[in-house]
Amino acid sequence: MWLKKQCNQLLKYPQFCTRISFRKQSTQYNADTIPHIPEPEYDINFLCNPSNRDTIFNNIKARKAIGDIDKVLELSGKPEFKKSFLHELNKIPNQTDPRVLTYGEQPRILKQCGHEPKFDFKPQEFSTLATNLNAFKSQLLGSLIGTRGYLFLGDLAQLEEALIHFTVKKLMKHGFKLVSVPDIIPTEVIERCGLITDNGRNLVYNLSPFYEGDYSLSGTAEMSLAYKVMNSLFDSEDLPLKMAAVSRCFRAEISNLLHEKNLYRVHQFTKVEMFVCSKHEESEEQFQELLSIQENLFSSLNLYLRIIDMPPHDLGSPAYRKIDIEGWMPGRKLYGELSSCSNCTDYQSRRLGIKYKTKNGETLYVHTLNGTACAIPRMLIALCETHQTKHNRIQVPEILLPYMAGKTLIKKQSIAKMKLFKYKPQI
Amino acid sequence: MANCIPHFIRKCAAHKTHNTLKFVNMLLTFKRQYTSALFISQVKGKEYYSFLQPYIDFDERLTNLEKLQQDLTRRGLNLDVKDVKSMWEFYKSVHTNKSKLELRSKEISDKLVPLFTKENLTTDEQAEFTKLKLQISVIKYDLKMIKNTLQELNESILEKLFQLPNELDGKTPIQSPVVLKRVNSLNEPSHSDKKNHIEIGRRLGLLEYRNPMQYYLCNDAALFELGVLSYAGKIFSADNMIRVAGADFSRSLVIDGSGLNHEDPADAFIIDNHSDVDKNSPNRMHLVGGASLISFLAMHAKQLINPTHFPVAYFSTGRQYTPFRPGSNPIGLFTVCQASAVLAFILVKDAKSKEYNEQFERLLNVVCKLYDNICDHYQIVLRSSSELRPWESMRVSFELWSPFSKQYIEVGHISAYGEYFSKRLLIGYKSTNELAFPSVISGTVLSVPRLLGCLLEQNPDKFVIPQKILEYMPIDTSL
Repeated sequence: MWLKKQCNQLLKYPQFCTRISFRKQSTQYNADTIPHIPEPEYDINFLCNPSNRDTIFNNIKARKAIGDIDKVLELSGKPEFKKSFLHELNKIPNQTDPRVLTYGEQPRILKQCGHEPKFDFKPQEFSTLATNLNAFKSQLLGSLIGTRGYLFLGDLAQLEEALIHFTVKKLMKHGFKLVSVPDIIPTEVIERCGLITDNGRNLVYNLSPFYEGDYSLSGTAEMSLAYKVMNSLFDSEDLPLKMAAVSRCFRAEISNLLHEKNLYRVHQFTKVEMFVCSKHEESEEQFQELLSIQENLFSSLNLYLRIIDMPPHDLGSPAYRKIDIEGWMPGRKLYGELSSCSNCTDYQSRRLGIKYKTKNGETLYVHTLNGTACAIPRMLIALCETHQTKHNRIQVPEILLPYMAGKTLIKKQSIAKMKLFKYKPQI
Repeated sequence: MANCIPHFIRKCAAHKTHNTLKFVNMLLTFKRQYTSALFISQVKGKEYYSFLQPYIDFDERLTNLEKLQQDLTRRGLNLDVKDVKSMWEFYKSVHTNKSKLELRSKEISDKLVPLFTKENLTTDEQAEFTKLKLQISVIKYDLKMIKNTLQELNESILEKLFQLPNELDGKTPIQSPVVLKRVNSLNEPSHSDKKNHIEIGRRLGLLEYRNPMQYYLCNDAALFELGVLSYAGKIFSADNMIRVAGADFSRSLVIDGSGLNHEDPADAFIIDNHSDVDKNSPNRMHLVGGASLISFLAMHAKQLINPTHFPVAYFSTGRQYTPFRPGSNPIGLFTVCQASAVLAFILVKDAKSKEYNEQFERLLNVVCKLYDNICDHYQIVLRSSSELRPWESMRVSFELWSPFSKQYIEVGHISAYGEYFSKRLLIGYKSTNELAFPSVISGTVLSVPRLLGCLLEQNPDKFVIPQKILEYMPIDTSL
């Protein structure tokens, strides 16, 4: 008993002191009600009309999606198979922009912007450049923070903040409302957004079931923002609703591709995201606006870009159309995806109950659109590789100077030198 | 079984040189309650090697029993240090026995080797050979047993000893907290019906609070969040502290090293499906956030720091994720799981040096500068020994008034940790070729949701953004 008692005492001890001790336990802090995730309302009239079968079949085929329209038709109108019917319906992807369907399997480069940077020396890759400047650390951290874990140090961490503030400031000028979102959200919401898996790859980190409810880490603020407006009925005057968020994003996918090593594909990063709820007739216009904001943001950082209309099989389930912007990364000698802009039409809003009332009183599902305004890791790769100097330093783009306390050049950071501590306990 | 153990320890103490195996075997059935991620552990027959093994300093800790006993009592822990010492002495005696057995095994092997190679042994040699072979098989068996036992003891004794709380700093008050400084006086609004910040935030279109896991800051509140972090960054950079954008994930061994219980999902978020983690491994993956102490500990764990670089001073602005403990009472933004926060982390060579105090004061002054510009009234409180968490030796809180809950809320803190973390997580340096451990001063100096909660309640009709923060918000102020 003696040892056990002492041990238990020691075990219990860390929990004695709660992080914050409140003298008065108030029960009067009443929360807003937790929204109930609604049942999806699929476009049954369209999907279950046999005359649309071939269109839908060809769309699924072009997108290389998993849905089976024949199964849907077979189960429709059979109440005893309702569950399987809904399951099959959920697998049918969004429709595809007719222009995109003509592309076949090839992406289409719509536009090239800026000028390719020229160097009179061999430009370095981001990780070499930034590691040598003591501004980036990714080696030997796997056992402590997981593979592909990394740290930004000193001025590079400052550059991250500069990019966020520069981006948000621009978005505010474009009439976006800033929202600070939860990074941990119900797994169900991620499923409804159509973002749980990608070609069978699991994209999402789940939390232990301990946390009352099935929670996962958000892969993009798009999910948290969609969750925020779930079960909403907007007036048509309230649209477009333009929201922006700065959040941490968590991606579980693993890549063994050589060109995706280091910072290019990481499991966690900061991103500024744009999310729009729009009327049907305005969603194309909103899409173009998101795209022009992206082009403008990246161009003002003097990056060499190409704008690519993604082919059907790269759209995932939710997007009706998706345009990526790729930035030239001179060290890697490759283009890398900097942003994505998607019009999901009513795919997400039908699954999350986001509606609006038109002027003539009709209730419709909003179109949701999302676009990356700044995803830090790849933005830093493009930026640092483009603006590196002969002496292996990084020139801060002029437009970011006000956010860098006047620092024009990122030099070697004075980080304490460390080496592996080899030790075996002696007793 | 457990009743035998005190007797067993006394017996061992009385017969130090004796083979303790038969007693030790009794411990093998000791029920395991906790698997440390810091030690080599066996789970379902598979061994998991820890990336690092802590520095063991119980001999030092148990030198001044009186001080240790005093510390434990002051923390409200009912534990007799003499018993702790017995546990440690016993553990050491088993270790000594193991070393002796190993030595003996080597001696016999040395004698055996020539006999093995020699052909045509004499009768005496043959007898010697048989005797030695018998001896070595007995010793090998004993060694195997003692190794197994030590493995069990690591789990039953060593892990428990590692849960001894940190030493208390001489400045930590024993009885009750001490208010060190009160900046301006409390100016209570005259409203008779005070509203809570959730209601105020909702009315002003600034906050949508659902539960501790889910809340949204909207419009000016979201801009305020970015502004206050940026302003804090400016203040810390001006004081030559280096900005770090850290990692959100941490393996269990760092959680264990930080003193938290890595097996308790309410201590740190546990990720269920991380591809790095073997399903049965005790060393799992946790979500902690880049602006957390754990993130900085992970950055330094198992590292020898170049001594010329001390003091090392870092800060981070970003996320902090802390689970909500079931059964406790949610109090809006004061108890949320996700917080944007400012974290400071300083490593000083020697906890006994003047520099340690100076660095603590330096950080305190920098943080005061921050609070001076974000609120009218705050107080700085030195926490009493019973309020400290086991790993803290001293803690200073920055508190703002919450008119609705009628109490001061800790919005930020700075704590001194001495060598607690550096010994557990092998953060060291070489001082004239001697191994030494730096001391940590760190704290979440500001938690944005807590600050926001207090500010909203103090001005229920309008969100008054402090002028300094306004300057650092990402908006065009020229408009």
